Amino acid sequence: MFHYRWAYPADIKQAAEILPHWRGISRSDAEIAEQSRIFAERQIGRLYVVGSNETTAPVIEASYHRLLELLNAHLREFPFLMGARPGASDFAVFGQLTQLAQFDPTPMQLTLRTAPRVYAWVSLMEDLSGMEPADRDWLDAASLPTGLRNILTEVGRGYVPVMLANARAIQQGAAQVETVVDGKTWVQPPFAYQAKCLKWIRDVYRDLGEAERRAVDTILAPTGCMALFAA
Amino acid sequence: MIPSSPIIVSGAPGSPYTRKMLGVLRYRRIPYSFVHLGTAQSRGLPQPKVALLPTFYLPGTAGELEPVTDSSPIIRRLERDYGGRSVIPPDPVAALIDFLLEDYADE
Repeated sequence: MFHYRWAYPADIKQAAEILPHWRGISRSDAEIAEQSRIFAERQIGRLYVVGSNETTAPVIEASYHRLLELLNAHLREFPFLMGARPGASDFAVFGQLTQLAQFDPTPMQLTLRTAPRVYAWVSLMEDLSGMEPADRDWLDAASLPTGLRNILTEVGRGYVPVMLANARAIQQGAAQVETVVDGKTWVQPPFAYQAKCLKWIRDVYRDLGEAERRAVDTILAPTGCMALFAA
Repeated sequence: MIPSSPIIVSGAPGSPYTRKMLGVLRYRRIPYSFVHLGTAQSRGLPQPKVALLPTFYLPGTAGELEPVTDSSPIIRRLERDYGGRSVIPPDPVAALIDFLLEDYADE
């Protein structure tokens, strides 16, 4: 998301012009313009932090395009990632899409071209206070929908190699994370926080009962995600 | 212990994690009071060690409000403090898949 906000002129312009207003609507145009300038400079200078550069930009963007198509296909069958009621993952995806699908012009255009359903879903996720969820609404992990399996394969493609390479770099005290995603070199500074997240997922996996772990293995084996738990 | 007053949350519309958490709070019908970052109300609030959005102000061990960040652990804490309308699947297998997808989206 950070990449899309600060990589292209149209998105930079919009973010720089709008964001400073949120700290105070009633300020002069000159004051806002100065804030816009400072903010844009600072954020563009930070693109490398999230691994966004000329080589990885197409990888990041291709993965967003794929996610849109996969999410669209899943939502055609189920109203949420977790079935007929939302899980934490639904809200996490929603949060990112409030920006990518409904704010930043470049990814927003891609969203509207690729998956109007996803755009509409974001608006629904905004307020689910009136929904009445039932226990039976959760998806059945024993027969995971194809749409969700495909999304997990996408996770195995981009997110998994970067998380593993980051953990290695943190462990080795390396100055840089380097790995390959979609045949392209991925470079970013190491993130201690990402290594913590990987540990949390591994802890959850490790704490599963034997039958549950086998069920997870069966689900994740074809997706490339099992590498997360290999170490 | 279930807090009786609205949870103070500080954040910004352009922060994906702020929007994530507002979505959770609304779905779970947890009363909250949203303070826009950089406005007068937010200036009186204590800052977290690392200023990340959103910041939740939750009771610490001494009962005083403390700034807390990190959406994923906050979601788990809210599950403990407020019942009903859970966002964590009860089946541990589904819960792991949900956690994996949540982290994928958050990264």
